[in-house]
Amino acid sequence: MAEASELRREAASEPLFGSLATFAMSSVGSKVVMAVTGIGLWLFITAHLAGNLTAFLGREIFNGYAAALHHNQPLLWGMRLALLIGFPLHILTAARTVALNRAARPVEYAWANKSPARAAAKTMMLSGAVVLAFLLYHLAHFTWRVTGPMPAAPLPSGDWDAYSMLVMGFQRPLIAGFYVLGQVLLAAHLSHGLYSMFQHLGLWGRRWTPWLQSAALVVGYGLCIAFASIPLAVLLGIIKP
Amino acid sequence: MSDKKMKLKLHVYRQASKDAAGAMKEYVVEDVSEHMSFLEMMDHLNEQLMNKGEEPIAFDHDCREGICGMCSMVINGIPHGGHRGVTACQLHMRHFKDGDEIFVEPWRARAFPVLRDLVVDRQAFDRIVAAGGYVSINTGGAPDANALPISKKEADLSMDAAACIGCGACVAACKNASAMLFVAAKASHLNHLPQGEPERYERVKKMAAQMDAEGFGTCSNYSSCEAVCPKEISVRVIAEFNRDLLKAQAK
Ligand code: FES
Repeated sequence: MAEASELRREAASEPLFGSLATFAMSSVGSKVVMAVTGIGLWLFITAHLAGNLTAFLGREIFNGYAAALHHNQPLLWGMRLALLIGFPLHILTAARTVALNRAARPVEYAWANKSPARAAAKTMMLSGAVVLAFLLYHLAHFTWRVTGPMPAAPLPSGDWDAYSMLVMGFQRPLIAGFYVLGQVLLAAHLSHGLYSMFQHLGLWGRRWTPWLQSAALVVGYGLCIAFASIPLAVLLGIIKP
Repeated sequence: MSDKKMKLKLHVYRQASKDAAGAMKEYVVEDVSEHMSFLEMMDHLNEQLMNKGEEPIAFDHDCREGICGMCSMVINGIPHGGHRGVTACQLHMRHFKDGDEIFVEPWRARAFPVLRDLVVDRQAFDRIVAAGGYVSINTGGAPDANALPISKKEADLSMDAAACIGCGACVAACKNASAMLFVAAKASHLNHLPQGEPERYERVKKMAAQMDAEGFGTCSNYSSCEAVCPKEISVRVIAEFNRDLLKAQAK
């Protein structure tokens, strides 16, 4: 077929994968990029969750945590910088590999591809896209403060009343629902990603790889339940205004 | 032994030549014995076609006992038909029943262009092996057998990977048309032996570069390859390949 003749079919000339950049662009290297940025993003999410859960400890502690984070500029900007590098790398590399993989099978099966594969693995792109949409909304809500209900005035200290923002937002079922949905898709994404990253980094064990697959499922959905507990607790009146 | 005769409806991909347009075509096959292999059923259909003066369906085959890796059909959406550890030639018709509809398609990948009907060009695999799937040996007398002791553990790892018959089912099954299971199996089988070990990192670099140049996709760890591999090769080899390639960057 025509598309075959366009292929160069010759490996790049020496030095093979000499530079790190060339490696990062190769099929295996791009997955290493996904794995490494994935670990970073996962660590961030876990730390973020720990902070969020202070909402259960009441207004004072949660607002105290929010203010402490806000006033710790090196930590805040260190985190932001890491995210500003990690997120685009993760997303752009994903987009590139998807394009590459589509090109690798220009003609799909006429009947269907019925080869077994876990649903979470096959829908990484979809779950990732929804999580990205959720993330943008979440930033608009809490970081840029352009959507969602806002408390009328900042705290006397000049800080934002994060606790009120959280409660006022999640008292609206639609907003709470979108947060829960975002978490469910994040869980699906992590349930494959947390296992997959080990494969990409070449870590495999006859005994612990199957265990790891279950662990990724538990960690992914565990994070989801913990995150989603906050909007649900507000809706149910457990976290009070 | 009973010998039930079946009547099947087949949908087979037909393409007259490399550059022609192809399409699925419907056929009815009569008198299929449950003792036939899938390829024998195809032969049977071809006889019926030839009797009618039609062009028989081209498909690859050779050993017909699951060792050569020539047969290559996606049967009802799964390469080799979806029974664990069997090639299409080992697939028995007793797995089907009278009146079944069966879809038969070629491997689909940009790197495996269709040459005719169900026959695809798999030379991309040969070029990957030529790029690094060998051991450089200086000429001389054949070394004594058992001169190099190899531990049972290493021998097993090597032999498990060496079971690969290069059929390409892994590529055909993968949503990304990735060749990682094949490439990694070929590398692993040499990397675990003292003869292959010295070139380990050079080998994975060269094979990975050729794999990319051939236009295969990337590995997303779907493990579909492992599920359809007629030799049941584990995705362990892929992790190993990734690790070696990562280490190779530092060399
Ligand atoms: S014909 Fe040889 S493996 Fe099927």
